[in-house]
Amino acid sequence: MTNMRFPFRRLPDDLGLMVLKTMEYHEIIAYSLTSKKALSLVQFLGLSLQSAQIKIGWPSIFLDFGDSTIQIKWKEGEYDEEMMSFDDIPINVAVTTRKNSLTFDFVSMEFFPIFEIASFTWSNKGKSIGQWVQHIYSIFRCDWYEATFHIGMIRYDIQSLRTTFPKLNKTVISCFNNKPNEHNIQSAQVILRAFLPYVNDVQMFSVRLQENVSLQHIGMVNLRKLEMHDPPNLNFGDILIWNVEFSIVHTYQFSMRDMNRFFKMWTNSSFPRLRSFKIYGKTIVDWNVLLKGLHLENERRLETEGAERGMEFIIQNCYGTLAEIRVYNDIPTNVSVHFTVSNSR
Amino acid sequence: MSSTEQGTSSAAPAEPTTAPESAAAPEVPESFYYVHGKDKVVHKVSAGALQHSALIHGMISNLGYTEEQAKANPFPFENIDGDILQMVVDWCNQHKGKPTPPEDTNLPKQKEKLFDLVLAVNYLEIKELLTYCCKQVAMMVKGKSPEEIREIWMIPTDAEDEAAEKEAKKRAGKEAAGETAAAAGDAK
Repeated sequence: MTNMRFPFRRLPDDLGLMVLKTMEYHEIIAYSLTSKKALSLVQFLGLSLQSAQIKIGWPSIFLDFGDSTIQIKWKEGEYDEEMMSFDDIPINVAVTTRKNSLTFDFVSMEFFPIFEIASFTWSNKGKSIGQWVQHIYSIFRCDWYEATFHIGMIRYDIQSLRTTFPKLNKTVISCFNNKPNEHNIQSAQVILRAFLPYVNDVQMFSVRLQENVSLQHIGMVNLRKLEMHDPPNLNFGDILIWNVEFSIVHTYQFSMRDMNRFFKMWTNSSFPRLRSFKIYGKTIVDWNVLLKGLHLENERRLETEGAERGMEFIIQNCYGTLAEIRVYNDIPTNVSVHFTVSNSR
Repeated sequence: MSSTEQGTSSAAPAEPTTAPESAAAPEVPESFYYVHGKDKVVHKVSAGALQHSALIHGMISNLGYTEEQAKANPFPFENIDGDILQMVVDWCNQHKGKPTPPEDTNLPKQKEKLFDLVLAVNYLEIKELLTYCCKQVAMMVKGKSPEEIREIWMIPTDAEDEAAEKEAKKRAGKEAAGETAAAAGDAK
Protein backbone atom coordinates (compact mmCIF):
# COMPACT_ATOMS: atom_id res chain seq x y z
CA MET A 1 0.00 0.00 0.00
CA THR A 2 1.14 3.52 -0.66
CA ASN A 3 2.63 5.51 2.21
CA MET A 4 0.74 8.55 1.01
CA ARG A 5 -1.80 9.97 3.46
CA PHE A 6 -4.47 12.56 2.89
CA PRO A 7 -6.60 14.10 5.65
CA PHE A 8 -9.84 13.72 3.72
CA ARG A 9 -12.09 14.54 6.64
CA ARG A 10 -10.43 17.92 7.05
CA LEU A 11 -11.78 18.93 3.66
CA PRO A 12 -14.97 21.02 3.72
CA ASP A 13 -18.00 18.85 2.92
CA ASP A 14 -18.55 20.40 -0.51
CA LEU A 15 -15.00 19.48 -1.53
CA GLY A 16 -15.41 16.01 -0.03
CA LEU A 17 -18.52 15.57 -2.17
CA MET A 18 -16.65 16.77 -5.25
CA VAL A 19 -14.03 14.09 -4.66
CA LEU A 20 -16.65 11.39 -4.11
CA LYS A 21 -18.41 12.36 -7.33
CA THR A 22 -15.27 11.47 -9.30
CA MET A 23 -15.10 7.99 -7.75
CA GLU A 24 -16.52 4.68 -8.92
CA TYR A 25 -19.61 3.30 -7.21
CA HIS A 26 -17.83 0.46 -5.42
CA GLU A 27 -15.23 2.89 -4.10
CA ILE A 28 -18.00 5.12 -2.78
CA ILE A 29 -19.58 2.11 -1.06
CA ALA A 30 -16.17 1.20 0.40
CA TYR A 31 -15.75 4.75 1.70
CA SER A 32 -19.25 4.72 3.21
CA LEU A 33 -18.22 1.70 5.29
CA THR A 34 -15.38 3.51 7.02
CA SER A 35 -17.51 5.47 9.53
CA LYS A 36 -20.97 6.87 10.25
CA LYS A 37 -19.84 10.34 9.16
CA ALA A 38 -18.53 8.91 5.91
CA LEU A 39 -21.89 7.22 5.34
CA SER A 40 -23.80 10.44 5.93
CA LEU A 41 -21.57 12.27 3.41
CA VAL A 42 -22.23 9.52 0.85
CA GLN A 43 -25.98 9.69 1.55
CA PHE A 44 -25.80 13.40 0.76
CA LEU A 45 -24.71 12.50 -2.79
CA GLY A 46 -28.18 11.00 -3.42
CA LEU A 47 -26.83 8.38 -5.84
CA SER A 48 -29.29 6.85 -8.29
CA LEU A 49 -29.52 3.15 -8.92
CA GLN A 50 -31.61 1.48 -11.61
CA SER A 51 -32.27 -1.75 -9.76
CA ALA A 52 -31.06 -3.81 -6.82
CA GLN A 53 -31.49 -7.57 -6.61
CA ILE A 54 -30.85 -9.09 -3.23
CA LYS A 55 -30.55 -12.83 -2.62
CA ILE A 56 -31.10 -14.29 0.81
CA GLY A 57 -29.88 -17.78 1.57
CA TRP A 58 -26.44 -17.58 0.02
CA PRO A 59 -26.56 -13.84 0.34
CA SER A 60 -25.57 -11.41 -2.37
CA ILE A 61 -26.73 -8.16 -3.86
CA PHE A 62 -26.58 -7.11 -7.49
CA LEU A 63 -26.64 -3.39 -8.18
CA ASP A 64 -27.39 -2.21 -11.70
CA PHE A 65 -26.40 1.35 -12.56
CA GLY A 66 -27.11 1.05 -16.28
CA ASP A 67 -23.60 1.38 -17.67
CA SER A 68 -22.04 -0.57 -14.82
CA THR A 69 -22.95 -3.20 -12.26
CA ILE A 70 -21.67 -4.30 -8.88
CA GLN A 71 -22.16 -7.68 -7.28
CA ILE A 72 -21.51 -7.95 -3.57
CA LYS A 73 -21.39 -11.50 -2.26
CA TRP A 74 -21.17 -12.14 1.45
CA LYS A 75 -19.28 -15.27 2.38
CA GLU A 76 -20.87 -16.95 5.39
CA GLY A 77 -18.06 -19.31 6.32
CA GLU A 78 -15.04 -21.07 4.98
CA TYR A 79 -17.23 -23.38 2.91
CA ASP A 80 -19.74 -20.69 1.92
CA GLU A 81 -22.52 -22.09 4.09
CA GLU A 82 -26.17 -21.10 3.91
CA MET A 83 -27.10 -18.18 6.14
CA MET A 84 -29.23 -18.88 9.20
CA SER A 85 -30.53 -15.39 10.02
CA PHE A 86 -30.17 -11.73 9.12
CA ASP A 87 -27.92 -11.38 12.20
CA ASP A 88 -25.27 -13.64 10.66
CA ILE A 89 -21.94 -11.86 10.28
CA PRO A 90 -20.16 -12.80 7.05
CA ILE A 91 -16.45 -13.50 7.20
CA ASN A 92 -15.65 -11.46 4.11
CA VAL A 93 -17.17 -9.69 1.16
CA ALA A 94 -16.43 -10.41 -2.49
CA VAL A 95 -17.07 -7.44 -4.76
CA THR A 96 -17.19 -7.78 -8.53
CA THR A 97 -17.61 -4.76 -10.75
CA ARG A 98 -18.43 -4.71 -14.42
CA LYS A 99 -18.34 -1.69 -16.68
CA ASN A 100 -20.10 -1.85 -20.02
CA SER A 101 -19.12 0.34 -22.91
CA LEU A 102 -19.09 0.35 -26.69
CA THR A 103 -16.08 0.29 -28.94
CA PHE A 104 -16.11 1.06 -32.64
CA ASP A 105 -14.54 -1.45 -35.00
CA PHE A 106 -13.26 0.41 -38.05
CA VAL A 107 -12.99 -2.80 -40.10
CA SER A 108 -16.64 -3.85 -39.78
CA MET A 109 -17.76 -0.26 -39.12
CA GLU A 110 -19.87 -1.47 -36.21
CA PHE A 111 -20.04 -0.83 -32.51
CA PHE A 112 -19.20 -3.73 -30.21
CA PRO A 113 -19.90 -3.98 -26.49
CA ILE A 114 -16.87 -4.37 -24.26
CA PHE A 115 -16.85 -5.31 -20.60
CA GLU A 116 -14.32 -4.43 -17.96
CA ILE A 117 -14.51 -6.73 -14.94
CA ALA A 118 -12.66 -6.29 -11.65
CA SER A 119 -12.84 -8.24 -8.39
CA PHE A 120 -12.00 -7.22 -4.84
CA THR A 121 -12.23 -8.88 -1.44
CA TRP A 122 -13.07 -6.77 1.58
CA SER A 123 -12.94 -7.96 5.14
CA ASN A 124 -16.14 -7.57 7.12
CA LYS A 125 -15.93 -5.58 10.34
CA GLY A 126 -18.82 -6.99 12.34
CA LYS A 127 -21.64 -5.95 10.02
CA SER A 128 -24.48 -8.47 9.80
CA ILE A 129 -26.28 -9.40 6.57
CA GLY A 130 -29.30 -7.36 7.67
CA GLN A 131 -27.13 -4.33 8.41
CA TRP A 132 -25.40 -4.69 5.05
CA VAL A 133 -28.70 -4.68 3.17
CA GLN A 134 -29.92 -1.65 5.14
CA HIS A 135 -26.60 0.10 4.49
CA ILE A 136 -27.00 -0.33 0.72
CA TYR A 137 -30.64 0.79 0.93
CA SER A 138 -29.56 3.95 2.76
CA ILE A 139 -27.05 5.01 0.09
CA PHE A 140 -29.04 4.77 -3.11
CA ARG A 141 -32.24 6.15 -4.53
CA CYS A 142 -33.50 3.13 -6.37
CA ASP A 143 -36.66 2.56 -8.39
CA TRP A 144 -36.62 -1.22 -8.26
CA TYR A 145 -35.74 -3.42 -5.31
CA GLU A 146 -36.09 -7.15 -5.81
CA ALA A 147 -35.38 -9.82 -3.21
CA THR A 148 -35.05 -13.56 -3.68
CA PHE A 149 -35.63 -15.60 -0.54
CA HIS A 150 -34.30 -19.11 -0.52
CA ILE A 151 -36.42 -21.38 1.63
CA GLY A 152 -34.06 -23.56 3.55
CA MET A 153 -32.48 -23.41 7.00
CA ILE A 154 -32.99 -19.70 7.57
CA ARG A 155 -35.68 -18.59 10.03
CA TYR A 156 -37.70 -15.62 8.83
CA ASP A 157 -39.89 -13.33 10.89
CA ILE A 158 -42.14 -10.58 9.61
CA GLN A 159 -40.63 -7.78 11.68
CA SER A 160 -37.01 -8.37 10.68
CA LEU A 161 -38.05 -8.86 7.05
CA ARG A 162 -39.86 -5.52 6.96
CA THR A 163 -37.03 -3.76 8.80
CA THR A 164 -34.36 -5.16 6.51
CA PHE A 165 -36.34 -4.49 3.34
CA PRO A 166 -38.20 -1.22 3.92
CA LYS A 167 -38.99 -1.01 0.20
CA LEU A 168 -39.49 -3.94 -2.12
CA ASN A 169 -40.98 -4.12 -5.61
CA LYS A 170 -40.59 -7.80 -6.32
CA THR A 171 -40.42 -10.86 -4.08
CA VAL A 172 -39.08 -14.15 -5.33
CA ILE A 173 -39.47 -17.23 -3.14
CA SER A 174 -37.67 -20.37 -4.13
CA CYS A 175 -37.96 -23.74 -2.49
CA PHE A 176 -35.94 -26.52 -4.06
CA ASN A 177 -36.82 -29.06 -1.41
CA ASN A 178 -38.85 -31.79 -3.13
CA LYS A 179 -40.64 -32.59 0.10
CA PRO A 180 -41.01 -29.27 1.88
CA ASN A 181 -41.18 -29.64 5.64
CA GLU A 182 -43.31 -27.60 8.03
CA HIS A 183 -40.48 -25.07 8.51
CA ASN A 184 -40.25 -24.52 4.71
CA ILE A 185 -44.01 -24.01 4.42
CA GLN A 186 -44.03 -21.61 7.39
CA SER A 187 -41.08 -19.64 5.96
CA ALA A 188 -42.92 -19.04 2.67
CA GLN A 189 -46.04 -17.97 4.59
CA VAL A 190 -44.03 -15.49 6.68
CA ILE A 191 -42.38 -13.94 3.63
CA LEU A 192 -45.68 -13.62 1.79
CA ARG A 193 -47.42 -12.12 4.81
CA ALA A 194 -44.57 -9.64 5.26
CA PHE A 195 -44.51 -8.37 1.69
CA LEU A 196 -47.78 -9.13 -0.11
CA PRO A 197 -49.34 -5.80 0.90
CA TYR A 198 -46.37 -3.83 -0.53
CA VAL A 199 -44.89 -5.59 -3.56
CA ASN A 200 -45.85 -5.29 -7.22
CA ASP A 201 -44.55 -8.61 -8.42
CA VAL A 202 -44.38 -12.07 -6.88
CA GLN A 203 -42.52 -15.02 -8.31
CA MET A 204 -42.54 -18.45 -6.66
CA PHE A 205 -40.59 -21.61 -7.39
CA SER A 206 -42.02 -24.88 -6.02
CA VAL A 207 -43.60 -23.13 -3.06
CA ARG A 208 -46.17 -25.19 -1.17
CA LEU A 209 -48.88 -23.01 0.30
CA GLN A 210 -51.42 -23.53 3.04
CA GLU A 211 -54.95 -22.32 3.56
CA ASN A 212 -54.13 -19.15 5.51
CA VAL A 213 -52.05 -17.75 2.62
CA SER A 214 -53.22 -19.68 -0.41
CA LEU A 215 -52.91 -19.15 -4.15
CA GLN A 216 -56.35 -17.55 -4.04
CA HIS A 217 -55.16 -15.00 -1.47
CA ILE A 218 -52.04 -14.16 -3.44
CA GLY A 219 -53.91 -13.83 -6.72
CA MET A 220 -56.58 -11.62 -5.23
CA VAL A 221 -54.05 -9.02 -4.01
CA ASN A 222 -53.67 -6.26 -6.59
CA LEU A 223 -50.37 -7.53 -7.92
CA ARG A 224 -48.92 -6.36 -11.19
CA LYS A 225 -47.30 -9.68 -12.00
CA LEU A 226 -47.60 -13.15 -10.53
CA GLU A 227 -45.36 -15.92 -11.74
CA MET A 228 -45.59 -19.49 -10.44
CA HIS A 229 -43.16 -22.28 -11.24
CA ASP A 230 -44.19 -25.85 -10.41
CA PRO A 231 -46.73 -25.04 -7.72
CA PRO A 232 -47.15 -28.35 -5.86
CA ASN A 233 -50.86 -27.98 -5.15
CA LEU A 234 -52.23 -25.89 -8.02
CA ASN A 235 -55.98 -25.83 -8.38
CA PHE A 236 -56.98 -24.14 -11.65
CA GLY A 237 -60.07 -22.80 -9.90
CA ASP A 238 -57.71 -20.54 -7.88
CA ILE A 239 -56.43 -18.93 -11.07
CA LEU A 240 -59.98 -18.07 -12.10
CA ILE A 241 -60.29 -15.58 -9.25
CA TRP A 242 -56.89 -13.92 -9.67
CA ASN A 243 -56.79 -10.17 -10.09
CA VAL A 244 -53.38 -9.54 -11.62
CA GLU A 245 -52.20 -7.77 -14.78
CA PHE A 246 -49.62 -10.31 -15.88
CA SER A 247 -49.49 -13.92 -14.82
CA ILE A 248 -47.27 -16.80 -15.83
CA VAL A 249 -47.80 -20.37 -14.65
CA HIS A 250 -45.37 -23.20 -15.25
CA THR A 251 -47.20 -26.31 -14.08
CA TYR A 252 -47.09 -30.05 -14.48
CA GLN A 253 -50.49 -30.40 -16.07
CA PHE A 254 -53.43 -28.33 -17.16
CA SER A 255 -56.52 -29.14 -19.18
CA MET A 256 -58.06 -27.69 -22.31
CA ARG A 257 -61.39 -27.63 -20.49
CA ASP A 258 -59.95 -25.29 -17.83
CA MET A 259 -58.50 -23.00 -20.49
CA ASN A 260 -61.83 -22.93 -22.32
CA ARG A 261 -63.50 -21.93 -19.03
CA PHE A 262 -60.91 -19.22 -18.52
CA PHE A 263 -61.49 -17.73 -22.01
CA LYS A 264 -65.26 -17.83 -21.62
CA MET A 265 -65.02 -16.04 -18.29
CA TRP A 266 -62.86 -13.34 -19.90
CA THR A 267 -65.34 -12.86 -22.75
CA ASN A 268 -68.02 -12.42 -20.07
CA SER A 269 -66.05 -9.53 -18.46
CA SER A 270 -64.02 -11.40 -15.82
CA PHE A 271 -60.37 -10.46 -15.12
CA PRO A 272 -60.75 -6.73 -15.91
CA ARG A 273 -57.11 -5.96 -14.99
CA LEU A 274 -55.62 -8.85 -16.95
CA ARG A 275 -53.18 -7.92 -19.73
CA SER A 276 -51.45 -11.22 -20.26
CA PHE A 277 -51.68 -14.82 -19.07
CA LYS A 278 -49.25 -17.54 -20.05
CA ILE A 279 -49.40 -21.14 -19.00
CA TYR A 280 -46.86 -23.87 -19.70
CA GLY A 281 -47.32 -27.57 -18.96
CA LYS A 282 -48.27 -31.00 -20.16
CA THR A 283 -51.60 -31.57 -21.86
CA ILE A 284 -53.13 -32.92 -25.00
CA VAL A 285 -54.36 -30.22 -27.33
CA ASP A 286 -57.96 -30.72 -28.27
CA TRP A 287 -59.10 -27.78 -30.36
CA ASN A 288 -62.76 -28.73 -30.03
CA VAL A 289 -62.60 -28.56 -26.24
CA LEU A 290 -60.40 -25.47 -26.14
CA LEU A 291 -62.57 -23.41 -28.47
CA LYS A 292 -65.96 -24.78 -27.53
CA GLY A 293 -68.56 -22.00 -27.32
CA LEU A 294 -66.08 -19.23 -28.21
CA HIS A 295 -66.89 -16.83 -31.01
CA LEU A 296 -63.62 -16.50 -32.91
CA GLU A 297 -62.88 -13.22 -34.67
CA ASN A 298 -59.92 -14.63 -36.53
CA GLU A 299 -57.92 -17.83 -36.77
CA ARG A 300 -54.60 -18.65 -38.40
CA ARG A 301 -51.77 -21.11 -38.22
CA LEU A 302 -48.61 -19.68 -36.62
CA GLU A 303 -45.70 -19.36 -38.98
CA THR A 304 -43.02 -18.10 -36.65
CA GLU A 305 -39.89 -20.17 -36.14
CA GLY A 306 -40.43 -23.02 -33.68
CA ALA A 307 -44.21 -22.70 -33.80
CA GLU A 308 -45.00 -25.10 -36.62
CA ARG A 309 -47.78 -26.77 -34.65
CA GLY A 310 -49.08 -23.52 -33.19
CA MET A 311 -52.34 -21.71 -33.77
CA GLU A 312 -53.47 -18.18 -33.14
CA PHE A 313 -57.02 -17.04 -32.45
CA ILE A 314 -58.58 -13.68 -31.77
CA ILE A 315 -61.53 -13.42 -29.41
CA GLN A 316 -63.56 -10.46 -28.21
CA ASN A 317 -65.16 -9.82 -24.84
CA CYS A 318 -68.51 -8.20 -24.08
CA TYR A 319 -66.85 -4.73 -23.98
CA GLY A 320 -65.45 -5.16 -27.48
CA THR A 321 -61.87 -5.65 -26.27
CA LEU A 322 -59.86 -8.04 -28.41
CA ALA A 323 -57.48 -10.69 -27.14
CA GLU A 324 -55.07 -12.99 -28.86
CA ILE A 325 -54.73 -16.66 -27.94
CA ARG A 326 -51.59 -18.41 -29.11
CA VAL A 327 -51.17 -22.12 -28.59
CA TYR A 328 -47.71 -23.64 -29.02
CA ASN A 329 -47.44 -27.41 -29.22
CA ASP A 330 -44.09 -28.21 -30.83
CA ILE A 331 -43.07 -31.00 -28.49
CA PRO A 332 -45.92 -33.52 -28.14
CA THR A 333 -47.77 -33.09 -24.82
CA ASN A 334 -45.73 -29.95 -23.97
CA VAL A 335 -48.10 -27.10 -24.54
CA SER A 336 -48.04 -23.42 -23.82
CA VAL A 337 -50.97 -21.09 -24.15
CA HIS A 338 -50.36 -17.35 -24.35
CA PHE A 339 -53.32 -15.07 -23.85
CA THR A 340 -52.68 -11.39 -24.56
CA VAL A 341 -55.27 -8.66 -24.28
CA SER A 342 -55.03 -6.11 -27.04
CA ASN A 343 -55.13 -2.39 -26.37
CA SER A 344 -57.31 -1.83 -29.40
CA ARG A 345 -61.00 -2.61 -29.72
CA MET B 1 7.53 43.82 2.74
CA SER B 2 10.38 41.78 1.39
CA SER B 3 9.25 41.14 -2.09
CA THR B 4 11.16 39.03 -4.57
CA GLU B 5 9.71 39.40 -8.00
CA GLN B 6 9.54 36.12 -9.81
CA GLY B 7 9.07 36.10 -13.51
CA THR B 8 7.12 33.27 -15.01
CA SER B 9 9.04 32.95 -18.21
CA SER B 10 10.46 29.57 -17.23
CA ALA B 11 7.00 28.06 -16.93
CA ALA B 12 5.45 29.68 -19.96
CA PRO B 13 6.23 32.67 -22.12
CA ALA B 14 4.91 35.75 -20.37
CA GLU B 15 4.33 37.51 -23.65
CA PRO B 16 2.17 35.54 -26.05
CA THR B 17 3.48 35.17 -29.58
CA THR B 18 1.62 37.24 -32.09
CA ALA B 19 -1.30 35.48 -33.62
CA PRO B 20 -1.49 35.75 -37.42
CA GLU B 21 -5.14 36.77 -37.41
CA SER B 22 -4.36 39.82 -35.28
CA ALA B 23 -1.87 41.16 -37.78
CA ALA B 24 -4.27 43.78 -39.01
CA ALA B 25 -5.55 44.81 -35.59
CA PRO B 26 -3.31 46.80 -33.30
CA GLU B 27 -1.76 44.53 -30.70
CA VAL B 28 -2.98 45.18 -27.19
CA PRO B 29 -0.13 44.83 -24.69
CA GLU B 30 -0.83 42.14 -22.12
CA SER B 31 -1.36 43.42 -18.63
CA PHE B 32 0.25 41.81 -15.62
CA TYR B 33 -0.78 41.56 -12.01
CA TYR B 34 1.09 40.56 -8.91
CA VAL B 35 0.11 38.14 -6.18
CA HIS B 36 1.82 36.97 -3.04
CA GLY B 37 1.18 34.24 -0.51
CA LYS B 38 2.07 33.71 3.12
CA ASP B 39 5.79 33.95 2.36
CA LYS B 40 5.35 37.41 0.78
CA VAL B 41 7.14 36.33 -2.38
CA VAL B 42 5.52 38.24 -5.21
CA HIS B 43 4.58 36.40 -8.41
CA LYS B 44 4.00 38.24 -11.65
CA VAL B 45 1.10 36.75 -13.55
CA SER B 46 -0.55 37.82 -16.77
CA ALA B 47 -4.20 38.75 -16.78
CA GLY B 48 -4.79 35.91 -19.26
CA ALA B 49 -3.40 33.33 -16.85
CA LEU B 50 -5.33 34.82 -13.95
CA GLN B 51 -8.58 34.36 -15.84
CA HIS B 52 -8.58 30.76 -14.59
CA SER B 53 -9.25 32.06 -11.10
CA ALA B 54 -12.79 33.31 -10.81
CA LEU B 55 -11.88 35.05 -7.55
CA ILE B 56 -8.93 37.04 -8.94
CA HIS B 57 -10.65 37.65 -12.26
CA GLY B 58 -13.56 39.17 -10.36
CA MET B 59 -11.18 41.32 -8.34
CA ILE B 60 -9.23 42.69 -11.28
CA SER B 61 -11.98 43.00 -13.85
CA ASN B 62 -12.98 46.48 -12.74
CA LEU B 63 -9.71 47.75 -11.33
CA GLY B 64 -8.14 49.23 -14.46
CA TYR B 65 -4.71 49.28 -12.81
CA THR B 66 -1.71 50.51 -14.66
CA GLU B 67 1.40 48.31 -14.61
CA GLU B 68 2.89 50.49 -11.86
CA GLN B 69 -0.26 50.45 -9.77
CA ALA B 70 -0.56 46.67 -10.11
CA LYS B 71 3.08 46.24 -9.11
CA ALA B 72 2.63 48.49 -6.12
CA ASN B 73 -0.49 46.63 -4.97
CA PRO B 74 0.05 42.85 -5.19
CA PHE B 75 -2.96 40.76 -4.23
CA PRO B 76 -2.27 39.27 -0.83
CA PHE B 77 -3.28 35.67 -0.19
CA GLU B 78 -2.04 35.29 3.35
CA ASN B 79 -3.85 31.99 3.80
CA ILE B 80 -1.93 30.29 0.97
CA ASP B 81 1.61 28.98 1.38
CA GLY B 82 4.14 30.47 -1.02
CA ASP B 83 5.07 27.17 -2.64
CA ILE B 84 1.40 26.30 -3.14
CA LEU B 85 0.73 29.67 -4.74
CA GLN B 86 3.75 29.08 -6.97
CA MET B 87 2.21 25.78 -8.14
CA VAL B 88 -1.09 27.47 -8.84
CA VAL B 89 0.57 30.31 -10.75
CA ASP B 90 2.61 27.82 -12.78
CA TRP B 91 -0.52 25.87 -13.67
CA CYS B 92 -2.37 29.04 -14.65
CA ASN B 93 0.52 30.08 -16.88
CA GLN B 94 0.74 26.67 -18.52
CA HIS B 95 -2.97 26.71 -19.28
CA LYS B 96 -3.23 30.34 -20.29
CA GLY B 97 -5.61 30.72 -23.19
CA LYS B 98 -5.75 26.97 -23.82
CA PRO B 99 -8.66 24.61 -23.50
CA THR B 100 -8.02 22.38 -20.52
CA PRO B 101 -7.49 18.75 -21.52
CA PRO B 102 -9.60 15.98 -19.93
CA GLU B 103 -6.51 14.45 -18.31
CA ASP B 104 -4.03 16.98 -17.04
CA THR B 105 -0.43 15.81 -16.89
CA ASN B 106 0.78 19.17 -15.61
CA LEU B 107 -0.66 18.72 -12.16
CA PRO B 108 1.71 19.35 -9.30
CA LYS B 109 3.45 16.09 -8.47
CA GLN B 110 4.07 16.69 -4.77
CA LYS B 111 1.17 14.76 -3.33
CA GLU B 112 2.05 15.68 0.23
CA LYS B 113 0.99 19.22 -0.71
CA LEU B 114 -2.27 18.06 -2.27
CA PHE B 115 -4.42 18.98 0.72
CA ASP B 116 -3.16 22.58 0.83
CA LEU B 117 -3.40 22.78 -2.94
CA VAL B 118 -7.04 21.66 -2.93
CA LEU B 119 -7.93 24.30 -0.34
CA ALA B 120 -6.01 27.02 -2.19
CA VAL B 121 -7.52 26.16 -5.54
CA ASN B 122 -10.97 26.05 -4.00
CA TYR B 123 -10.38 29.47 -2.40
CA LEU B 124 -9.10 30.95 -5.66
CA GLU B 125 -12.04 29.35 -7.50
CA ILE B 126 -10.04 27.68 -10.27
CA LYS B 127 -12.67 25.25 -11.42
CA GLU B 128 -10.68 23.07 -13.83
CA LEU B 129 -7.71 22.70 -11.49
CA LEU B 130 -10.06 21.90 -8.62
CA THR B 131 -11.62 19.12 -10.69
CA TYR B 132 -8.19 17.67 -11.43
CA CYS B 133 -7.16 17.93 -7.78
CA CYS B 134 -10.33 16.13 -6.67
CA LYS B 135 -9.57 13.38 -9.18
CA GLN B 136 -6.07 13.11 -7.74
CA VAL B 137 -7.51 12.70 -4.26
CA ALA B 138 -9.93 10.06 -5.53
CA MET B 139 -7.12 8.23 -7.37
CA MET B 140 -5.34 7.71 -4.04
CA VAL B 141 -8.03 5.21 -3.02
CA LYS B 142 -8.75 3.66 -6.41
CA GLY B 143 -9.63 -0.01 -5.99
CA LYS B 144 -8.91 0.08 -2.24
CA SER B 145 -10.82 -1.72 0.50
CA PRO B 146 -12.59 0.20 3.29
CA GLU B 147 -9.65 -0.45 5.67
CA GLU B 148 -7.14 0.83 3.13
CA ILE B 149 -9.30 3.89 2.46
CA ARG B 150 -9.48 4.57 6.20
CA GLU B 151 -5.68 4.44 6.39
CA ILE B 152 -4.93 6.50 3.29
CA TRP B 153 -7.54 9.17 3.95
CA MET B 154 -6.87 9.16 7.71
CA ILE B 155 -10.50 8.52 8.59
CA PRO B 156 -11.18 8.17 12.30
CA THR B 157 -13.29 5.28 13.53
CA ASP B 158 -16.75 5.96 15.00
CA ALA B 159 -15.29 5.50 18.49
CA GLU B 160 -12.57 8.06 17.74
CA ASP B 161 -15.16 10.44 16.33
CA GLU B 162 -17.28 10.10 19.46
CA ALA B 163 -14.26 10.62 21.72
CA ALA B 164 -13.24 13.71 19.73
CA GLU B 165 -16.77 15.11 19.95
CA LYS B 166 -16.84 14.56 23.72
CA GLU B 167 -13.45 16.25 24.03
CA ALA B 168 -14.62 19.19 21.92
CA LYS B 169 -17.76 19.56 24.04
CA LYS B 170 -15.69 19.43 27.22
CA ARG B 171 -13.29 22.05 25.85
CA ALA B 172 -16.17 24.27 24.76
CA GLY B 173 -17.70 23.94 28.24
CA LYS B 174 -14.42 24.89 29.89
CA GLU B 175 -13.95 27.87 27.58
CA ALA B 176 -17.50 29.03 28.30
CA ALA B 177 -16.87 28.66 32.04
CA GLY B 178 -13.59 30.60 31.67
CA GLU B 179 -15.33 33.39 29.79
CA THR B 180 -18.05 33.57 32.44
CA ALA B 181 -15.41 33.74 35.17
CA ALA B 182 -13.51 36.45 33.30
CA ALA B 183 -16.70 38.42 32.77
CA ALA B 184 -17.50 38.11 36.48
CA GLY B 185 -13.94 39.28 37.31
CA ASP B 186 -14.36 42.29 35.00
CA ALA B 187 -17.68 43.13 36.62
CA LYS B 188 -16.00 43.18 40.06
